Amino acid sequence: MVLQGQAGENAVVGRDAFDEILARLQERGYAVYGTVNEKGTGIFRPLGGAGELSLRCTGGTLPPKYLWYPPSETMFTYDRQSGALRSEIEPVKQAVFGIRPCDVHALLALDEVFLGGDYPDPYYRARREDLPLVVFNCVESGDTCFCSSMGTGPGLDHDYDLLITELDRPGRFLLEVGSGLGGELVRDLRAEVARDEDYQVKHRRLEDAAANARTTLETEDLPRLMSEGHGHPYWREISDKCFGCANCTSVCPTCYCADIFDETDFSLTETRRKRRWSWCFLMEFGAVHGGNFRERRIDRLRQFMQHKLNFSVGQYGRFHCVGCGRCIVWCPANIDIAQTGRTIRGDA
Amino acid sequence: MVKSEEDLRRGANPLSLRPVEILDVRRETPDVNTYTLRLVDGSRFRFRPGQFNMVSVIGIGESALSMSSDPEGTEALAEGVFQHTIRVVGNVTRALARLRAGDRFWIRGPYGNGWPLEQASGDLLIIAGGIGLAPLRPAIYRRLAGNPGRLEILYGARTPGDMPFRDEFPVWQEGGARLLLTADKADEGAEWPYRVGLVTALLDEVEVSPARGQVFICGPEGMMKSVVGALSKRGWPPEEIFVSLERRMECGQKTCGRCQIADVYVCQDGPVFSYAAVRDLLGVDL
Amino acid sequence: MANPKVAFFKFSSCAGCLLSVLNIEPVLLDVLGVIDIEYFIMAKRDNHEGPYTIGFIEGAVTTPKEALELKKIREECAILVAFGNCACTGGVPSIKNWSGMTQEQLTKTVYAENINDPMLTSIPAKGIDFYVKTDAYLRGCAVDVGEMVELIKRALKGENPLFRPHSVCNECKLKENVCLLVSEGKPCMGSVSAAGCGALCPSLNRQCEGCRGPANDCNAASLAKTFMEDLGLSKDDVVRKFRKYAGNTPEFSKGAEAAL
Repeated sequence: MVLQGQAGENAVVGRDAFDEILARLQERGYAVYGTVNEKGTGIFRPLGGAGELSLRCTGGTLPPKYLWYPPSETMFTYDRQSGALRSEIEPVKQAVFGIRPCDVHALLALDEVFLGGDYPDPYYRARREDLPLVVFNCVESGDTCFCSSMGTGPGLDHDYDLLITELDRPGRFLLEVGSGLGGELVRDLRAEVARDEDYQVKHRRLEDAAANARTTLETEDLPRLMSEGHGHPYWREISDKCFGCANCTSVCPTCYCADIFDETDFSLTETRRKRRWSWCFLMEFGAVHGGNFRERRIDRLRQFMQHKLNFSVGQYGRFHCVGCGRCIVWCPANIDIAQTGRTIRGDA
Repeated sequence: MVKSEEDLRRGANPLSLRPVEILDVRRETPDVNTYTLRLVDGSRFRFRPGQFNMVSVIGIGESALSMSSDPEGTEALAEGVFQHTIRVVGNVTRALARLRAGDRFWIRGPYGNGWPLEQASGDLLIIAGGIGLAPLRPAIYRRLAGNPGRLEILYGARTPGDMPFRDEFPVWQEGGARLLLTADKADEGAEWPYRVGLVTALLDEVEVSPARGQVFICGPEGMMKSVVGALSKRGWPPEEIFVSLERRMECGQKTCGRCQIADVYVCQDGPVFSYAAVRDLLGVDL
Repeated sequence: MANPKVAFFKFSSCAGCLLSVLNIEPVLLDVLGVIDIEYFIMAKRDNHEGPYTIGFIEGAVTTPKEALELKKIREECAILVAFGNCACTGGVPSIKNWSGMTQEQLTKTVYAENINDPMLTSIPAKGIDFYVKTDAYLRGCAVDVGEMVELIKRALKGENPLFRPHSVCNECKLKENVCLLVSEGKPCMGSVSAAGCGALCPSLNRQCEGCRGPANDCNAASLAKTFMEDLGLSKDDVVRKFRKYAGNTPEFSKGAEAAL
């Protein structure tokens, strides 16, 4: 059959469809990013062609967060001679080919932070408004993934332009069109009709992935239990091990803390006000003249985890931990946020 | 200030700044100045008592500073004039201390929730320590302007010479406020007819009753902690005690993450909180 | 208004940091436009006495004579900067502090024939802040020239440069490097070392050696245990790692002690 290109349309496609979808995104002026195999893991990179694409999970190192929230950006420039403030915010066209459900949930969490309040952030909006997402459902569980516990995977059923789930035979994928743009990306492509068995395979694979999760965390009543467990001795145990390196917050897809600072050039004619990533983990994060609101490492480690598993629910109604497991992979001291949650709530 | 979709569609940027011109700089104490200001574009700067601006000296940085003037006073209404009373503590405030009338700096705001004056319908007890009197001064003027309830102000500072607004104290008293002052130690040689000691000691003389009043407190956190403790012992209900919390603020817009305490953002959910709301908040030691 | 006067001094060191100053060609003209280098023996013949606005000191203090000179320099400089790891923490020269020998024994071992030369009085090597108040630190072995330029810019305006001494891990992650410690079991010290170098060594697949000293509030003792228990390093290896560049610092001292 041939795809009409309508939202809600489903079909079964092969890998060759990826080439076409990627090419169409590029033709429309999007810089396309996806996971490639590199250094023994999946790393997020700009894609030239779909052949570079790896089906491995993006739980590589940095999450795709830097596309909509860059590590450093200029907010405005100030001409010291004329006194004029200039802020040029250009919309940015980027697309993600192969984002995972956990990272989509992280994106939705950041949408609430940057666009949901009284002061919608125009810098974030410029990168977020036109962001096609080709989502890959996860049919396998990684060692440290616990998306099924956090309700963020392994499958997604909203907020995608195209949704792709690998079926049983290699090279066969269930394609679901989620939007008008998604439809345009696949219109007129040759495909197979999606039959009942295909949907069953999709559901079975997703259920298996969830059932095989090697990391779990019961989230029922978790915020209250985490608050009650604020003084639990386990916090001391892990903060004694913790190196203070802030790897966890560096790779977290929902971390959004920032520094805002001014930078002037040598000739003293132009100052730029910039925003760059910061981390509540850093000792100087809470420093004010005459003191520091969070000086001890135990307080900062606890703040990080409490925010993800507890405080964010009070602020935004959702866990900011999306169970991607990156912080567990990259912690050199073997500290595990899911294990911490389980211990504090008494499940250990 | 951008607050609406419309503003955003017009391309306004909530992090962008508005220039203000300094009309006057008054030296209140060796390290505190009051700046009388007006927006350069001539419009009136509207705010509520207890709110703050992010004040910029571009090239050096920003500082979260409360407005210290009466938002509905004659000058405010007629000429759009407002004030900041600023203590020198760091890079930005030091740079501000070098400015004079005619100079300009930049602001964005107002941010924060402000003092709950509408709720304070009965008697009002105001307790301030050090520079904490500055964010309370707008509330004092609003009360004097028309509320028939009792107004008592307890104020303590390190020394009498460290108290800003001293020449206004008689004006407040004439307006009906009862003023109880104390200093940690008196200036040598000068006459100091008031108490020497901590602000908590003044609570013995307070006439406002816990049954019919509210308390607004602003000062160093250690002072707020002992005052809140003393008030609770005297039967003040925690819902009627309001404190102004300070945290490191950089954006004022709930995106930089620095001012979070448990699940509240001090920049918008505060800086004023009832003691009942923050008493059990993890990370607040009051 | 005259340009601020800048001076570069050297104590016990390899001169690598001073040499780096000469490598700032891209911004050299900008820098020379806003400062006057009044004293820089390595680069100029025409050197002048103080006072100076900014003094950069390379090298650790390892003789009494250096300590006295340092105090004089402190008086001549409005802003004093510890320039490079040796001046910040004692650096490589400080390795001798844990040799187990007395200063006399050390001097005899190293300078055998010249043992009686009065110039060779060796004392434990320390960073300059052991002796004088230090206003800023440019870490690294050698310094990162970008940081030096940033510091000069900020110092000229009387501000604190906004260096963030967080761990090298943050810079590695921003470059999407794969972690040498976690993925390859290499004894990388980046998790407890101060960033600012752009994760230079790990980006070239070489483990971080902590040449910029400890990151703020790091837990070197815990990393020492990981090196021994998970990576199988010997106690001596671990002690050597923490004493190579910044053994004088409290954080790295704890790292070494955890292995002893």
